[in-house]
Amino acid sequence: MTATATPGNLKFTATPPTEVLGPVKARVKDFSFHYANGFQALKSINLSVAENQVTALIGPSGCGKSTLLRSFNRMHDLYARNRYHGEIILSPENINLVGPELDPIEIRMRVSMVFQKPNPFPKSIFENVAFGLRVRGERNKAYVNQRVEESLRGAALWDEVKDRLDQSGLALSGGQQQRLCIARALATDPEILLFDEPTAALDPISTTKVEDLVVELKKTVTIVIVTHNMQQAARVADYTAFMYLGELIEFDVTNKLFTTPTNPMTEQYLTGRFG
Amino acid sequence: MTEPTPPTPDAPMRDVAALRRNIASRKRADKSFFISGALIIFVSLGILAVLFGNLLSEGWPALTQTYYTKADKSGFGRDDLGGEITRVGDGWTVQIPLATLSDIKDSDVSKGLVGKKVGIVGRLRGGAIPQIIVREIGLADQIAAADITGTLERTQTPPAKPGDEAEVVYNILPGPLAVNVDKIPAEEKSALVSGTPVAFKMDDRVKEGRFTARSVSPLITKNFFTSFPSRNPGEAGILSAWVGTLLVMLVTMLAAIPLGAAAGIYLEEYAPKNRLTSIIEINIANLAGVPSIIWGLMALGLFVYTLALGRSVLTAGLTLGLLVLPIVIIATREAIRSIPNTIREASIGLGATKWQTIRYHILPYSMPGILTGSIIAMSRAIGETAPLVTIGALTFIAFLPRSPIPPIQREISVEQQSTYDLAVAKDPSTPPPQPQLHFTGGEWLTSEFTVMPIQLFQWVSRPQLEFHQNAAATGVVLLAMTLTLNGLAIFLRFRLRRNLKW
Repeated sequence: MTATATPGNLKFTATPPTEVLGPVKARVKDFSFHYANGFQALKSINLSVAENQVTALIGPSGCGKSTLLRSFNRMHDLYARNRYHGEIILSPENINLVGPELDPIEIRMRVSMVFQKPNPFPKSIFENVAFGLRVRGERNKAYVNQRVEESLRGAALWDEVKDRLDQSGLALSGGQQQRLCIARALATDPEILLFDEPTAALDPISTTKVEDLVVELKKTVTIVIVTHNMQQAARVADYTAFMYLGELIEFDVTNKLFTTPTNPMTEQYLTGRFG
Repeated sequence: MTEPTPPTPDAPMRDVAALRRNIASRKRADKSFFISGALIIFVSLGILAVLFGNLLSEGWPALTQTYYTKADKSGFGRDDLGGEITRVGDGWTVQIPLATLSDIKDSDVSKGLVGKKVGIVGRLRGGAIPQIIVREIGLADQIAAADITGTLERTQTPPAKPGDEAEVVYNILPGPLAVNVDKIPAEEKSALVSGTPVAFKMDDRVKEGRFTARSVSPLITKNFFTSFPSRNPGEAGILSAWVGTLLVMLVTMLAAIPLGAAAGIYLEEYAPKNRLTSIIEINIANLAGVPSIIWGLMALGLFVYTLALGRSVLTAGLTLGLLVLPIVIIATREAIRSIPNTIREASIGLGATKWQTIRYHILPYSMPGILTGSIIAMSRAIGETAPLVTIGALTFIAFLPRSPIPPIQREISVEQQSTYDLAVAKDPSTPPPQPQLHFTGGEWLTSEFTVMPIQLFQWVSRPQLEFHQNAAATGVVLLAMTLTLNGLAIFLRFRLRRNLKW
């Protein structure tokens, strides 16, 4: 199957993974993933996520980049009979994120996620942001208020909504809703923030705001972002991974990957000849 | 930049005519479906119109007035005197323009009165029905000055054809007449308004020849709701029926809604998707279609005999609860399915447990759907008759179950009394037992009951037209209840879903 799907006369070989320069937040080791219907979406992925850096996952539709991203906070556990193989090791404790012995709730408290389509709860803006704290049983009102404000400021939304925190989160525009979702993810102070094509449903101006936000946020949190948009990856990411048909083809510093890719498939994809 | 190429002259012409024929033939299919669809809708609307027309014409007398038929031989009689009540100073007077007492029985009492000066005394006999007693003036000492007075006259119309009975008519001369109903107690009078039409009926079982005046204002009055069923259709009401319906519905609600919602949530959110679950799902859908009388049979065996709950409100409520449970489950599942997965993922992604996700998101967002489904289930249950007949609901109930709201009472229990009796026998100086607090809240559950549809059925199965009037009135009340419930469901759906846009 892979042979026929491979474009042109390219050799379907993965380039050995490049090591990141700084400290590593998460290390993906020989990671494979099977969906419940038996389809293998990821094949032996090896990848390092640098701490306080932005790592972008790019590739054509169906390449498994969202599947990989959703493995980081065990979103696949929601649906029965999905299977993980291999490891995703989280530093500094060196725990395996996809290990069956680890409670997925613990992981999700440390690894937050922002989805493709803005999905605020049909509750007030305040309650949207506070939800992550509420489920932890946080009852200190002053602390919740403070965290909500900090998170909304962190998501560059505070000035726009500070006078209407009790309004429904659904009353906001699409771009604001997505930043509200980012604030919601920030409120619980995660170590890794996952973005699954966060600007796919947004207009260009909202997209710019979210991109600026991603660059700003990496000061405090490690970011993994899935995007269809190669320019976006070039703009926001420090490291970029190119995936194809469930395999990691090339992973490198973004500048290097975009200017001098070592794998001819990466070059073909970046120049728009397939994908 | 490429130059646009001009069309090549020898390119084959498209067959436009064939294209159009093709469109025309496809449009014909379109049109025939439209016509048949519109036809079906019109026919349905017509049937609906006939249904409502029939219902209204049947129920209209119940809403406007009631009357007595002349053929009735039992109980109170027939259209005797009719008029309007008017307020005169502090008193009430009934102006009777026509004083034809066509239905005084041709009894000795009546015959003896013919040609005599007679009077009618305003009397009250309970309910809002002033009762009139005809007495020969001079014999009766309680005749009031302003009561109906006149000479009783007997006329006999020869039979229209041989074999028919001659029609005997008594008239009081002269008309119009006035009757003093001053003796009506104040609380009854408050129900009377000037202009209320009233009619007087005669009860020929009573020696003097007694008349009851009955308000012919709407049958669905306060009295209709506050009276028990009665052998007298004019006095019969639906008190025990609507109270029974209410209590049974309360049990049904408490049984079906929490159980149905919980089952729906479990099936959607927790149950693994396997063969067993799909078998359960299919069977829930099937259960919704089981004839209600089968539920009645099941309840008779399980609740009445095996669990020995008796023919009680509890049995009825649980039976109807089971009957509508599939509806609540299906509604709950539909409501939960309409919540997009992104909401679940967002909540789970923030570290919420499954139950927190359900408690804070799934349940609130599916609440409009659950409520709507539950109300529709209730409106189905409210009209169910067959299962209740099967478990043995009574048709004639002239008492009410104890109130579900417990009155706090101090009582000396049977045990206390017997202990005291024993103790006193030994030592007469034993102090008497102190009354203790008793909550009599649960008794209504074990009480026998009737419900509106059964009351309706009981009335409609009697030969007298008056009872049919009552049945129609009950039908109107029942229909109003279900329409109100359905209206509430629609309101809730619009109101609560306004804030939920995905």
